[in-house]
Amino acid sequence: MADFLASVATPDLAVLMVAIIGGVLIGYAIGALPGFDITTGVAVLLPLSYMMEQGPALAFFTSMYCSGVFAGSITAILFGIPGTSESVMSAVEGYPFTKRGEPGFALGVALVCSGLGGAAAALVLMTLAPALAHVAIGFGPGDYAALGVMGCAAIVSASGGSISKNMLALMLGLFLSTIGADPVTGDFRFVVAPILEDGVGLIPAIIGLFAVSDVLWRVLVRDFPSPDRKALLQKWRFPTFSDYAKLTSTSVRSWCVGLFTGVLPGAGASSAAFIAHSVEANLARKKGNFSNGNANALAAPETAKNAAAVGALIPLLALGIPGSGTAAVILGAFEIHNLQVGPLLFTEHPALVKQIFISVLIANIVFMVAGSVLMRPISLMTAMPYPVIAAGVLTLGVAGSIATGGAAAAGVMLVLSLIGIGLRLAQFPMAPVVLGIVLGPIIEVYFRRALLMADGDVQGVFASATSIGLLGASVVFLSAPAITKVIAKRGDRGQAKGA
Amino acid sequence: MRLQKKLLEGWLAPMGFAFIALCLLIYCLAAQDPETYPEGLAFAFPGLLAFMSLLFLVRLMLAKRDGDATSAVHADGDWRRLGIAGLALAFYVVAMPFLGFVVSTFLFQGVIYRGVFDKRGPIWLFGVPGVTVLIFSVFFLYVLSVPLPRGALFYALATIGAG
Repeated sequence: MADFLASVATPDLAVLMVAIIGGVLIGYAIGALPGFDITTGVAVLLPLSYMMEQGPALAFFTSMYCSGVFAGSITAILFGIPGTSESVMSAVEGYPFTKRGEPGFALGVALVCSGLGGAAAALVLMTLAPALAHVAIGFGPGDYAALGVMGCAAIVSASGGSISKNMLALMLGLFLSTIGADPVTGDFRFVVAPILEDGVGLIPAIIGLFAVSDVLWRVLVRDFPSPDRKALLQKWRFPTFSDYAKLTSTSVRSWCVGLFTGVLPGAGASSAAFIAHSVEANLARKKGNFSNGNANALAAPETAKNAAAVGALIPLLALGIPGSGTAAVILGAFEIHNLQVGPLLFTEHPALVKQIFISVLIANIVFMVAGSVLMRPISLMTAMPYPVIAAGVLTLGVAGSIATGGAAAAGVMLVLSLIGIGLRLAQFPMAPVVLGIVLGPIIEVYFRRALLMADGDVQGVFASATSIGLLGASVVFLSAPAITKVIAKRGDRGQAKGA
Repeated sequence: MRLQKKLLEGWLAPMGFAFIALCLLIYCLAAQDPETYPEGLAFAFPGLLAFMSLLFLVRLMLAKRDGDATSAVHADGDWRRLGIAGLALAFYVVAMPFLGFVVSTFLFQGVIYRGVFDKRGPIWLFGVPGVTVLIFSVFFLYVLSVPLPRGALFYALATIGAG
């Protein structure tokens, strides 16, 4: 640990700290704004990477991600409006505190549980990611292709809702990834217009699918968040140490749930918050007292979502497979700096990896400290009218796309924002599409490379124990929702018989 | 209809992965043979993925028939404002190279506030767009050092004027 800190404590540390603090504050602002998701925020601010060195840029975005995931809880608790998709359970459990005049207590619980959950997960990230990368460095092309397939299976399984919808959303993403030059021969595929010659870039795709389509969707359904700001005028009382001590067992359990869920590709912090809450609800002896403003019911999703947010960085850094939609967006920052995430990142850029680790840890501590001081001023930002936020997101979306890839990228972004509307209309999840765009080239390129190495023998491609294990895990992921349904049905029948 | 729904819900996931495996196999086999690559079978993988995307469209149509929340949005959604926002975005993307970032953003913001959010008065039509243009111009040009289009039209006019 001493060596680790010594290697990080360079003159660049000051720049890194500025990037972390800047990222935390901007993440706070974005997460707290109603109707402005942290994924959207990271997507539209990706061009900021151009003005920064690799280390500070990645520190900035990871810090922004950590604080933004928490900050969604501010509007959720104060106004009952989740600032981010991860904060839905925080709205359900936190808003009753505000209604009975205790917004400060709920915000304090959320802040400390999120911060400690994220910081503890950062320590696991420091240990697990290098170990995983060390294992992955021995992977052959067939293993990588199998890993890509497992990533696809995990996202389909973990996105919730209809498996068929998740599957088709993934198909769409995989299909979009084939547009442009063939990664092996360079031949053009599906280049029906000149704007598609460079293919569907990750950054325009993310901006179109997440940021611009979110605003257009809110226009379509007339969902313009307009919080009742009475809560800002109430007197705030923060929790005491003994209040926090009562939440320890819930927080530890939820942290484990959050970290495990976060590591699964595609599951993300939203799923982690829901799962942790339902686990605690099932464990609670008096279910009637669990919800409606119970501190344990709030601590569970808060701890889990930030643990999951950091956990999602483990497969991203070690294997190049994003653990969540926002982690896929952060992948865009790596792309801007021509960095390939995965095991080679640990051998080719060890100092950078250490900087990312320390940034994630510090960011979680900084946002706890900053939150305890700046919570009320930050909450005042929620007074910004939604039309200003929406017009700003659209302008940044178009200008950001042009800045990263010219008018062609803006055109691609526009088309994808319309596809995003279609997906939302049919209630399709967005994350599988983006992960399909990320994983498509991994599966295709490595499979073809493995096939060449195996002299065209398909059996030889997936002959290693790693490949077989990863494909086996894919089958488990795909079967999991069906098995869970069967178990739930049997449980219901058993209860009905008992009654 | 019930069988169709059962097939879609129960078998689509394993079918999808079987499709991916099949696509990859055909595609890679094609890649081994110079005579069939890059024509014909070389496009099998993306082609079959396209077929799966068609299934996505079929599923979308089925979802509309289900009478669920999708239909409610379809019927009650504010399509007029969505159309205005979409057209304004398309105009913004197309016009920016000709009119430049400053003028096109100013016009775009004005249309969004007036046409989509029903904001009236000089503050919303001139004040807010003006401040936004100023902030974003400084942000992109001086903070990010990213050159945004200055406008081919103005460049042409300046050239004619100088000539």
